[in-house]
Amino acid sequence: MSGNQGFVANLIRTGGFVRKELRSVLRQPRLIMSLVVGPFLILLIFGFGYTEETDPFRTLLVLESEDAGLATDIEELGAAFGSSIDLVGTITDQEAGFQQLENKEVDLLIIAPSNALETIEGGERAEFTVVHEQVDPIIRQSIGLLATLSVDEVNRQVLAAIVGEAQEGSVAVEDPASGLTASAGSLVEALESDDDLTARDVRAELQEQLSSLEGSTSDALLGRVAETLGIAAGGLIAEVLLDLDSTDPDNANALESARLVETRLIEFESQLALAQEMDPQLLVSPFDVSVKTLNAFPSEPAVFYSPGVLMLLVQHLAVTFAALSLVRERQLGVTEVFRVSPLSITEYLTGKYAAFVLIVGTVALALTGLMLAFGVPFGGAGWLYSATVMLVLLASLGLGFVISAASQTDSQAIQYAMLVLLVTIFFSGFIIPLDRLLAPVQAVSFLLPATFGITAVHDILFRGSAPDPEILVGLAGYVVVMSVLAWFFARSDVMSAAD
Amino acid sequence: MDAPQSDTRAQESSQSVIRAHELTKNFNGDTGVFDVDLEVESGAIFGLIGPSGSGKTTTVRLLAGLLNPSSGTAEVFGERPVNFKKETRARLGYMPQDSILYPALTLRQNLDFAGSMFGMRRTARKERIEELIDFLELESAADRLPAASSGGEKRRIALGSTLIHNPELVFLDEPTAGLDPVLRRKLWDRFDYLAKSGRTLVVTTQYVGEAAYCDQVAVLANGRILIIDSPQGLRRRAFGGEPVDVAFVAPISAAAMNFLGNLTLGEAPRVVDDHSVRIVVDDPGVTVPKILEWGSGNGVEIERAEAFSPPFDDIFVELVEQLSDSHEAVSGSFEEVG
Repeated sequence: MSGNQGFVANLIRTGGFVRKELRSVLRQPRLIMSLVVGPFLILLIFGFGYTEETDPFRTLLVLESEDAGLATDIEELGAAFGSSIDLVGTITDQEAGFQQLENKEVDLLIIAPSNALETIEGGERAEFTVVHEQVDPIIRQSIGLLATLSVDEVNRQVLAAIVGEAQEGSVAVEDPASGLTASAGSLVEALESDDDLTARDVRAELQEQLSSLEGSTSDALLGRVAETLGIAAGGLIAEVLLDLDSTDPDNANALESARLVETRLIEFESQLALAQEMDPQLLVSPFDVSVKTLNAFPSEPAVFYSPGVLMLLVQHLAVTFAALSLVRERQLGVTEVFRVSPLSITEYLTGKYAAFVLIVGTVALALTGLMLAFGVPFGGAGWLYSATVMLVLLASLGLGFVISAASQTDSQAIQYAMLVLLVTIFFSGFIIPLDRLLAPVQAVSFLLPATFGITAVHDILFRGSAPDPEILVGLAGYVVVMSVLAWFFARSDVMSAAD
Repeated sequence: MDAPQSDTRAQESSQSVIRAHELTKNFNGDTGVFDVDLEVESGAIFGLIGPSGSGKTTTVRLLAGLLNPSSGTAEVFGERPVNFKKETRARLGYMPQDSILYPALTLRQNLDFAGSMFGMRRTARKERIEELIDFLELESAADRLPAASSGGEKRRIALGSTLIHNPELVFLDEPTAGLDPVLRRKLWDRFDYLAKSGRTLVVTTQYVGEAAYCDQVAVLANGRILIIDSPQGLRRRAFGGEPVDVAFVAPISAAAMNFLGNLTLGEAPRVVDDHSVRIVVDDPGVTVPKILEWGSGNGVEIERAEAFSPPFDDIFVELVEQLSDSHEAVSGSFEEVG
C-alpha cells in the first residue's frame, strides 16, 4: 500500500467512526432533545428564574420597656435599617419574641441593650443582639453583615443627634468669631501705623481668644474633613495661632503675618457659618460612594452565570459522550473485532474526537447564540472565544476517554461523569470564586477543563480582553496530557491482546 | 461474489496458512487449551468441533491474535498472531460468537461501518454491500435496525461484516449457533462457496453433523485436540473402515455370511436383521461390485448393497467411546445434528 493510499485509508477509517457516531446520535430523537433542548431550557429557566431580590427579614425589636427612646422612633429606625429589614414591631416580652421566632412568625429578633446609658457611661459599648434560626450559611453570613450595618446606622443616627446639638452650641462662637476678625483688623491697622503698643495689646487679646476657641466642635469637624481630603493639616485655629506668633511688632514680617491672620479668620468665620448650616447627617457621613467598572460587566446575575453554564454543559456532554462511547463498545464486544482489523488506535480516537467535536460543538454554537440573545456582552475576540470552547471540548473528551478506561459498565461511567459535574459546580469558579478556595484545593479546580474555560470566557466576554496566557497554555497542555493518556488507555483497552 | 485475486495467496496456495505447535493458553491451572498442534491449508474449511467449554473459542482467539499464549507457538500467514502487521490484519476476517452490531445503525449501515474499518472507498463499499446483501439473502431486512431483525438476519449481517473486505482467512466462531436447520444449511453452502473461491475458513461448531461440511476436523474436549482428520477419516476411525450395508431378498444363508466374513475388516459382519447385514470394508467402490457379482454367480438375490454413511452423532459416539480409554473422559455434550 502506497503512502497516499494509506493516508486515504486512514481518513476512511476515521470518517467511518464520525458517520457511525453521528448516525447513532441522530437515530435517537430523545437524545437530541435532551442534548439541544435540555441545555436551552436550563439557560432559559435560569435566566428568567434567577433574581437577586430577596424578601426582607421580618424583624421584631425587643426593648427593655415601652418608654425606651427607640420605641418612639420605630418608623425612623425601620428606615435606618434599610430595605433588607422589615421592622414589624416592638415587644418588651423577650420570651414571647423567641416564641414568635420559633413559630417562624418573624425571621429576626433584634434585642436592644438594657441599661445602655449606664453601660456607655461605664466606658463600654452597649450591645444589640440579633437572633435568628437560619441554617443556610450564606443567609447566616448576610444576617451578620446586615446586623453590623444596622448597628452602624444606629450609631450614625446617635452621632448625628450629637452633632446637631453641637451645631446649636456653635452659635455661641459666632460673636467671638466676629470679634476675632475685628481684632485682626485692628492688629493690621496698628502695625501699619507703627503703633507697637496697641499692636502688642491687640495681639495678646487675640491670642487669648483664639486659645479658648481652639478644639471647638466646628473647628474639629471641619478640620478633620479638610485633613481627610488632604487640603489642610490640623484645625484652622491652630494654624492661625501659629501665624499669630509672627506678628510681634519686632518681627520684620509682622505686618504680612497679621494680614494672613486676618485672612484666615475671615475664612474661619465663613466656615463656621457653613458648619452651622450643614445637615448633621452630612457632617456625620460626609462621604458617599459610587462604583463604576471599566468592563462591559453584566448587570444581571443570569447574564453573568450564562457563560459558566455553557462551559459546564460543554464539559459534561463531552465527558459523558466519550466515557460512554468506549465503555459501550467494550461491552458490545466490538473492540475485539477492531483488534482483528487494520484499525489503529490513533484512527480510532481521532474518529471519536472528530465525531464528538461535531456534535457537542454544534450544541455549544447553539447555546452561544442563545447566550447572546440573553444579552451577554461579547467584548473580546470571536476567535479567542471559539478557541477556548474548542480546547475545553477537546480536554473534556480526553477526560471522558480516561474515565471510560476506569469504568467497567456504562452505569459506572455515568456515575463518574456525574461526579465530575458535581466537582465542577463547586470547584470550577462557576458559583464560588476560585480565590475563596485554599491553594491545595485550587489544584483540584485546575483538574477540570471548565475551570480554565470559565476563567477565560469571563475575560473574553466581560472584560473584552484576552485571557491570561497561562490559562490558554494550561488548557492546551491539559488537552495534550489527556489525549496522550487516552491514547495509552485506549491502546491497552481496545487494541492489546488479553493475557 | 468475486473470488479473491492475490499474488500472495497464489504463492500460498496449497501451503499451510496456519501452523500451531504445542499452543497452550492456561487460564487458571485446568482451564484453557493445551498443547494444540494443527495445520490449516489454504482454501480449506477447518472445523473445530467439541462440546461447550472444550476450548474451541480460545483456540480461535489465540489464532486471531486476541489472546497471548501461555506457551507454544502459532503462526498465521507466517506471523505470530499477537504481532500481526496492519497489512496482515487486513487479510483476516473474524466473526465472534455473538452477533456484534451497533443497535442504532441499520443492518446496511453496520455493513458500511465494517467496510470503512478496512479502508474501503465509498463506491467499493456500496457495491460490496449490495453483493453481500444478495449473497446472504437480506434484501428485505437490510434497512432495519438490529432490534427489529431476527436472530438469523443478525447472524448473517455479522457474517457479512466479516466478509465485507473479502478476507483470505476467516475465523468464524459458532456462526450457526441458535439458527434453524434450514438456515444453517444455507450458511454452510455459502462457506463451501467461499472455500471453493480460495478462502480459508476456520469454523467452530457444537453441531457435530456440521463436521461433514469441513475438509478437516479437529475434535476438542477439555481443552485438548483429540483427533484431527477429514470427515471420511473420522468415519473410518470410528468404524475401522467404511461400513457397507447388504440386504438379501431371502434370509441370510451361511454361505453368504461366510463370503461377507471374508470381505469384512476386523470383526465379523454385524447382523442387522434376518435379511440384512453390515460389514466394514476398505473401499466400498471395490467391494460392492464384488458382492453383486458373487450374488448373481451363486443365484443369491441381493436387494441392495451400498456404502452406509452413518450420522456424525454415531461417529462421535463411537470415537468418544474409543478415545475414553486413552484420554480423560470427555465432559460436556455435543448438540444434536439438526
